[in-house]
Amino acid sequence: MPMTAAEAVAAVMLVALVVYALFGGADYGAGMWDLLARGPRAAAQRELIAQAIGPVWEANYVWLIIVIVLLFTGFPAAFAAVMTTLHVPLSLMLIGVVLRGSAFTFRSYDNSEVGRRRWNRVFSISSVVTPILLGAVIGAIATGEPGRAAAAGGPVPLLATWLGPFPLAVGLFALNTFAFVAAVYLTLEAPDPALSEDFRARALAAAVTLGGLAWVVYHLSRTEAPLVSHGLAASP
Amino acid sequence: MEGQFRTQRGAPLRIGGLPDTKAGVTHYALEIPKGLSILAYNRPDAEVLGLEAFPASDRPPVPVVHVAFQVMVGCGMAMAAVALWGAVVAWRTRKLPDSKAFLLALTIVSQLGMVAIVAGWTVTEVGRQPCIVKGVMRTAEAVTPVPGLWISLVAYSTLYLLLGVVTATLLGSLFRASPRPGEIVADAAGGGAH
Repeated sequence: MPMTAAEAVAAVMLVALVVYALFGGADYGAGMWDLLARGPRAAAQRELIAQAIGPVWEANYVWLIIVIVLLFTGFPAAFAAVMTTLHVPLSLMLIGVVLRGSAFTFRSYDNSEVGRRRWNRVFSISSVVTPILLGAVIGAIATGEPGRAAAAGGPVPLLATWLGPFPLAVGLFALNTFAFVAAVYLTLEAPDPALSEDFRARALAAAVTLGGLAWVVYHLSRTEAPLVSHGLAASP
Repeated sequence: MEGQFRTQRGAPLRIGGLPDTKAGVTHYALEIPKGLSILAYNRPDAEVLGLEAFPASDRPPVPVVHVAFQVMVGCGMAMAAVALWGAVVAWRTRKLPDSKAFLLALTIVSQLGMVAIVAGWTVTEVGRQPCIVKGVMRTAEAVTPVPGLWISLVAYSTLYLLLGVVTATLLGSLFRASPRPGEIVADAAGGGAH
């Protein structure tokens, strides 16, 4: 099947976004498991998470940057619509990214126990909030609202395009996907069987809730994002 | 960038100086004859288009760009000079230079890299005005219609200010926690007692 240049660029963006979700997403998921570290091995879980994401997590932003640069150069009209009508969630997401990264770094240089715990809190909370915002942005784009609002002209809506049930459901779906991927990776990274078992149980639980959320998102998409819903229903 | 207002053959390269936009001349600059023509076209008598070739509405704020460019190049030259100084001393004495004057110079120029980055960034960002995409789109056409942008500005500024303060505090505490020169010597003499 011959591809137009636009489709080729869009395909590269899709691949980059999927790779970001698989690699960068796992870093967010690991941050969520840090927040939810429980049980007798909570400290060991946190240490494994810090070791697992330490060497790679900065590099993963390359994928997100590719998506944004291609959107800007390949589809400037869509870029303008997305960046203006979704200004609020994108800004909050950026702040989340910055806080997460700095807290992760500050944590390893802070000598006081209180300080380390505080940075850990900042790191794990921003790890949970940021993917929800990322998912909400993608959900909002799927509804077509940003494009319609930009085409209509007039004052730019700040909240209406993304503060709806469908975008927020996609946000939770994104967080859950990242948490599942991270738990699977951490199961393999864990140095001892007990720790590995902790994350195996978490991966299974995340898989179950992911299935439930997928069902919710699919049903919401019928009315909120018919284009996506038709595509999903028609796929073999 | 070079403060060249008139179109001329054998244009000089200006070091320093302050462009006067109204009069169309750059004052107080050290001029290297034909330098700019050689730099731009590899020929001493090449013609260099001056700013006068462009309508005033298409020109960037010349003094800002010129001064920022001089600052960037100056920083680079200063860093290169100190590096050369260190290399000469190291080559002549066969050990790392540790004179007080050299260490003081090193402390000062180590800040200049950041200054050069910011100055260079100013050159590109101010230098491409009034366009945001050269020849395609003007900055005025690219202004976002999003309302309440001052909130974003205040939020980002506060965030980075806080992060800066935290970084300085943490670096300070690391610095205080590091051993003094005397302690390192004492440790080595102890022969790894602990």
